[in-house]
Amino acid sequence: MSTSSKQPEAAVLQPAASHALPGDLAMWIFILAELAAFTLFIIAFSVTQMLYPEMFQAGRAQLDPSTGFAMTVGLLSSGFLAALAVERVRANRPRQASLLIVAAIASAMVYVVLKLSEYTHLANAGFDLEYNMFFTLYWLLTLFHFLHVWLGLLVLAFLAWRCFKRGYDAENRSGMESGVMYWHMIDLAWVIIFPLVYLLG
Amino acid sequence: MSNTKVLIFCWLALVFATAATVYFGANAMTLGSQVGAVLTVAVIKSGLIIDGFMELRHTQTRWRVIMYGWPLAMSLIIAATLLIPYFMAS
Repeated sequence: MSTSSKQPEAAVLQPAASHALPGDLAMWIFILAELAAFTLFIIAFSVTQMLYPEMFQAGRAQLDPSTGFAMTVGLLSSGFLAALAVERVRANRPRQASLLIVAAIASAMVYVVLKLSEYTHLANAGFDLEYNMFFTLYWLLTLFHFLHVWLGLLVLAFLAWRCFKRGYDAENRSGMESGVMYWHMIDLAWVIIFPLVYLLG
Repeated sequence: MSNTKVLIFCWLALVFATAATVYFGANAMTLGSQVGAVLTVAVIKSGLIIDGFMELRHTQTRWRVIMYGWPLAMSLIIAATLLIPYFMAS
């Protein structure tokens, strides 16, 4: 056991008592760049919806909002578990953090399985990338987010492994916080994408 | 309140708000009320992620402004593209 893991828990449960950003500044700049990329897709979807409202209404009718609800809860629960894992690292409990990250990955897999099921259903029904403008933008926007989820899952898997190896603790946690902040950015993007694609209009 | 309790509160609020989003999306009487309700809840959810999960409530105001700016800007763009044609047609 590392010496840092013997520190009293109360001494390290002050998350960001300083006014510093959690994680590395470079990760926050990367997050802003990612949000800028999502902005382009969201604007493209919104403006095209303004031009072809009936087409988008008909396309949206092929999607199931309850599936979107379950996907959203899976992602948000994953973000919650990842945030709890950061707390455990700050309390010098990296093994507990590792378990929480594994739980976060499992929760995110709810989103992955449901999204793959939705993609399969739409592709089999002929609503592919070339079907119309709604489905072109649906596939581009949601696939762009889906790829980010996979990248985030790889990051979470790395964090779980590092935590299991006691690679993070209360003093050495910047990498952990940066990885989890990236995961929260994916949640943040989905919170806007979900109503835009599944509900509004 | 400990940070763990804040996280639990944010998670429960996010799940409830997501259910509210789906409800408003399906049951709003007009496009205007649907857009207003759904996007307001989306911005509140974004705030729970930004201040709760990302813990920006502890950090400098400029970072909170930047991060809150994104969901606000997206919501305004989405609302404008949906509501401008709606009001012009009515």
